[in-house]
Amino acid sequence: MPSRPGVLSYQDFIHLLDRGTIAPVYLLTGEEEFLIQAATDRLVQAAVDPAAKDFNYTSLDGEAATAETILTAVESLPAFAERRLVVLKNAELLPAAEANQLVNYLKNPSPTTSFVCVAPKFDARRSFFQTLKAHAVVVDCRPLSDAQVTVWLKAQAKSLGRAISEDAVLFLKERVGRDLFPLQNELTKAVLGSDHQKTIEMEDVQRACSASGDVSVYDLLTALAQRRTEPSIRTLTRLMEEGEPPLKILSTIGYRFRLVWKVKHAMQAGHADAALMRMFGLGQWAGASVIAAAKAYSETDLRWAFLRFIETDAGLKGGALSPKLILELLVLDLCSGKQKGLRRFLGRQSLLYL
Amino acid sequence: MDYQVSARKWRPQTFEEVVGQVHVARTLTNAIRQGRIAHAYLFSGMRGVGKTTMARILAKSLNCASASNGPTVAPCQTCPSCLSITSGHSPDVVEIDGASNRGIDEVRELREAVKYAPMAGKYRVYIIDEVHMLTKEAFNALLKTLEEPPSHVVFIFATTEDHKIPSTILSRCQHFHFKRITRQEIIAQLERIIREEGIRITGQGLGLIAKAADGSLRDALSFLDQVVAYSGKEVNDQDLQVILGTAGRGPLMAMVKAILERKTAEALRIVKELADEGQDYRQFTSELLEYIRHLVIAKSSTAPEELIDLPSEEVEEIRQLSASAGVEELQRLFGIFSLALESFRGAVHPGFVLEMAVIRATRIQPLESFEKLLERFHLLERMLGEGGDRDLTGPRAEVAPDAPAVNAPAIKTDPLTGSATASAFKPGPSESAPVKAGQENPERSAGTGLPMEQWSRVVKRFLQEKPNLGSYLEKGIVQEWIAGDAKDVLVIGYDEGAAFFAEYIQKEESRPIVASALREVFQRPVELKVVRLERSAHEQQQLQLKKDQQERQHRQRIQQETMAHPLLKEALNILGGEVIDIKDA
Repeated sequence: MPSRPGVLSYQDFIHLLDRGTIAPVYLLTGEEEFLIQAATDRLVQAAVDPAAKDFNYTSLDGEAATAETILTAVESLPAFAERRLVVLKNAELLPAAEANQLVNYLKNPSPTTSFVCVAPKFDARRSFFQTLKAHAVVVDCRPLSDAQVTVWLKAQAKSLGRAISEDAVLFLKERVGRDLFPLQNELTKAVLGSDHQKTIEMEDVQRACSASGDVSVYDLLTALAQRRTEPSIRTLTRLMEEGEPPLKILSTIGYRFRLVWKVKHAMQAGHADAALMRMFGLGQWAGASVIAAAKAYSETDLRWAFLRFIETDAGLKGGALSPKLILELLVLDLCSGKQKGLRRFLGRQSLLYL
Repeated sequence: MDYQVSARKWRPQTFEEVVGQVHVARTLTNAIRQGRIAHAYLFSGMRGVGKTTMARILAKSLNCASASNGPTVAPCQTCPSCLSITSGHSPDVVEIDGASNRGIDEVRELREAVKYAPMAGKYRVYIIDEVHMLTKEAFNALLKTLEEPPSHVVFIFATTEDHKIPSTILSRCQHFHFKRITRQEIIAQLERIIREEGIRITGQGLGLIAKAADGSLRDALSFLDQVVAYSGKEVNDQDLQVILGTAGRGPLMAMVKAILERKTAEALRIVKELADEGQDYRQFTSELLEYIRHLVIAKSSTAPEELIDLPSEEVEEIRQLSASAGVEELQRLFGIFSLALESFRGAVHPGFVLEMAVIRATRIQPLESFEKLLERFHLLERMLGEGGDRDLTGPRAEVAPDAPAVNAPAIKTDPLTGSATASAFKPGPSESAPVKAGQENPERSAGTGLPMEQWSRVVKRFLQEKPNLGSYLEKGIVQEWIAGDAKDVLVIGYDEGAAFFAEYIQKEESRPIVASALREVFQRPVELKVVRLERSAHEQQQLQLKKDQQERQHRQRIQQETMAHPLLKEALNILGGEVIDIKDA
């Protein structure tokens, strides 16, 4: 993602820091908290002598700080060190009257202080921010794109001393999303949970992400994709025993079947397997499972499956039956398909008229 | 010596001792070995699975004084730090109950306190139990500490409801979900404890405790304490059943046997025994459902012991019992008792609910499979064909399979007996060869053989010619068709709320008009009989849905037939254009 004019990307910012360039004023902006935290940590590392950190590092919050306290902090001289660092978090929350008093400082900052304003979002029309943008090094901490997250995950794994497989990356992105904090947490768990292998594989991240240690809801999806009753029930039983929340299981199945349905439509339009995997951003593992399911379930089965999801959802939220039994019935029905399943379904409903 | 409850006495002190949470223990020990201690951990999971225990062990590992090189995976348990953590008096390990310290003031105090370095160990560990109980403001205040935690502080949050934790906090924590503890793991731990304590309980008894504990080891140990207090060190299964309030497998098996053998009196006797013993009907029904589930699994699976969490001899019993029932029948039993379970909610007499369910269950007849019914159908077809009255495999058989076969004699499947009977009603004007079946039992004539189409034609005619009477007839629901020699009888039902319409139709001036219309449509005398229906709201709703569906099917069929008509096709072909509307004349 190219950075905007006058705005440094996170990587460029790190590059400059590594070359020893420290600016007197920074504006960290964007909503990726992990990058903001990482940028702040790197600045502290580069600008503050750890031995005199208590004297030379001040962290303030725009919600509570006044212009006076901020100016006092930024205009103080460093003690026993060359530089001091003042971080103003939530700068956008600083009232305009207070912020305007800082404008002169921004135009003529102290050479021995690095003043870091953190504002995930701000009103660019305010004179404080206009001045800040004109005089500060602006660092872009927006959420990363999908491709950037992939690169980032690989770099993180490397920093933890491991490589990571493509499938594991795709799985992490699919399961956790693109927020870097949770991604880092799950990646770290996967590294710590796998013993000494060189590459983090799919199974490691699955284990780290699932509620239970040995079996994940994705094993259930794989068994369901092949419509194999026994493995499906066995996996479900273990998931339930190991505390995977029933609604989470249902929503994961629902989410996956939505994807299966979409893939089935694309398949009917004549797309080949490889094209389908590209279109839907599927990894080798997820792709095989989804495509197998799209072949195994007819259009009628899929439509009916969604009706059963609704029924199961209602049963889980308000029924008297145990969640395990409700989910077992769903799994049995999904594996047996509409014909047999419907009979079972109607069998249950028809009891109302007995 | 002071008495200690088992859950405290047997609380694990090392990572290896924690039951059922190997995945968490392994990750944490690796984190300690590699020096990758996170600033905040979140332990979530149901009650009694080891969250607080694991937190304390982690605290000990971080602060053990005997380890010279920082945190250790094997705390010594003898140094002052380990001892003070075990006794709950460590100045560096602060346990806070989130439920009673949930406000912003408490969190502000915490924020101030975390600045101070640990007194004896290397870390100050804050264990906040039930952290989901904190207020929104308290979470916000806590977040600020989590954003910049002092390097000597480790937070360990424990919760049973992780979905109540704000995502901003969640994303700053390394989250571990603690598993429910499996029955086998609970039984293994109980065996270890009773061996050490010299308590005698049967394997089945331990199974009962493990089942009642429902994944919580602490609950299992509490039950153990209760039964030991009740029966001393020799515990028999009956005492256990009394303490745990479970029925035991005896009554469950007896009940299922009685139902499968259709012994209503025997089944009711079991219900009475349950009442005499003060058993909870809901609990019994719930256990019965689980038992039926086991039977279904035993029938459907080749390796039931993998899917049924019971000792092998009980699985064998279940397998034998399941041999006498069909899967469909068991499914229906499951349905009956799951409905009963729903009905307990708010029931004034839960005993009656169970009794009625049991009576219903003992009276259902085994269902026949579709394949068998189809076989019967073909047999019937052959028989009728041989009789020469009608060729059912003739042109009529070409009607699309989905279209309702209104002109063919319908096979009625008795929902009670599963037996199929042929019924016939007089077909439309185009038919000349009547097929007669014997007069039907009125109780058995629900289903496919009703002259829906003819009735809708009658109604439609009235709607056009006499809208008032038509709309009254429209409210009626076809209940039954009784074929007779002299005349047929059509039974129409009206709901409670539609009694006025029923009366109007039965008036002297209405009867002949309706009768003549019926004769015209059915091409023979048909008597209209009006009955009053007593239905629940749900049934009414279902009937309305059924009626709508029939109407839809009728419309679809008309549309299909019209579009397939060669004349229309030819007209479209020659003249072009498109079909905008199809009206039923």
